[in-house]
Amino acid sequence: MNAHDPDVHSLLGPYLLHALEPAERAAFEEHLTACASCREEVAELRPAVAALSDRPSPPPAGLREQIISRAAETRSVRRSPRRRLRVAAVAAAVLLAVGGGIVATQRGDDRMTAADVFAAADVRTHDMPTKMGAVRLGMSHELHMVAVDGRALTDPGAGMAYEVWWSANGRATSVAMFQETESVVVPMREGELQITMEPMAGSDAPTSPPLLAMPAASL
Amino acid sequence: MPRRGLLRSVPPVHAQPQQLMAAIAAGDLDAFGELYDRFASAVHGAALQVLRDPARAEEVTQEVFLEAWRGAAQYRSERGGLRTWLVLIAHRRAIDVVRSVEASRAREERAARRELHEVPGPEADLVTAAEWADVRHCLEGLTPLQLESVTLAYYDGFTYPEIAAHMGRPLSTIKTRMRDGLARLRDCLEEA
Repeated sequence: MNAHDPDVHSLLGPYLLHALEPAERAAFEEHLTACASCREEVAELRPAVAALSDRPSPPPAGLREQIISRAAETRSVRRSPRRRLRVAAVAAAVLLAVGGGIVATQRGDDRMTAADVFAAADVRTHDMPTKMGAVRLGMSHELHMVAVDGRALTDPGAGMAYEVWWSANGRATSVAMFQETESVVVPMREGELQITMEPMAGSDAPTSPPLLAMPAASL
Repeated sequence: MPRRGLLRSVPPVHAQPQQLMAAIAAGDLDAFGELYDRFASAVHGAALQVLRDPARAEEVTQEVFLEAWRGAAQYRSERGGLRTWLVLIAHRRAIDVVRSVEASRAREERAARRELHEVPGPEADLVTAAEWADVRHCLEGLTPLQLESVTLAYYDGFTYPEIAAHMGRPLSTIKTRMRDGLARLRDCLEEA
């Protein structure tokens, strides 16, 4: 049965009761995207289905803390829109300022990727060894951005991630976080680019010696 | 980094589900705690009702809330209230667990031990006793075929072809009884 089979419509009852095998469930969900009256009927019947489960039972007391600390661990790297947005906003502002933003702004969004920087005509790349593995840096004057490719780094350990800083006059400013499977872009600045290992939630200032420190002039 | 703790002595209260979920989508752990406080009993109860195993119900409860944490941005209020949304995620996960760990024969035996009109689950506490009485009353208003199709699927985790085979009925009959059974249940609950 597929989503266009007239018979797929008859799966509405079993779908609501979670009585479908995965393949039929997928077919019905595809059907739902095209069938407004089915969506309406599903929405109308859902509260009645949920009422069949309405037997509240408090979970053990310790579970709350366990769940919240698990949530906190997964917060920063995977879902820190604030930090990423800040980088994107700085990037957009820089692009406007230097007038070289045509490449990025024509993409329809203002999020530049590391691949964009590595693909820039004037990119200069540096493979930098660290005790956690190699980091590849790419700097484009044209884009005024630095790409940090951390995909050759090793796992920093449970609850840890890599944080990128620009350090100048003895003060380090956080510009991005990433995990060992990721790469990030940060705006070009004065001072020294540093990478440290930090708890996933991010730190206000570096809490470990830099794995890598690269003066802007050498990039 | 947002400062936590002392500077925020009064926790925010998000009256609207959209507000609460938007705060959670933005990474607000206090809002996530609020979601947990409001719905943990409902989620845990839904899982326990199907699984009847405290350790597994606890695991499912944790998975449901972490899924809500990661997927908060996908929540749409027009698809139903938060309670309905969370309870149905819990139910579906519990059914997946039952199907993977409990052989079909064991589920058949457990279903056979149950009286036709008996609905499994933890003892109702006083707060919800009245509401549950409505659900029970409405279940009793279904035809025997509707009732068995709905409960074998929902409480025992059988798929509709398994139920058709078990009851010796055509697939189309079971699918139809599930759907009109739910419609009758909805009408009855709305009157209650």
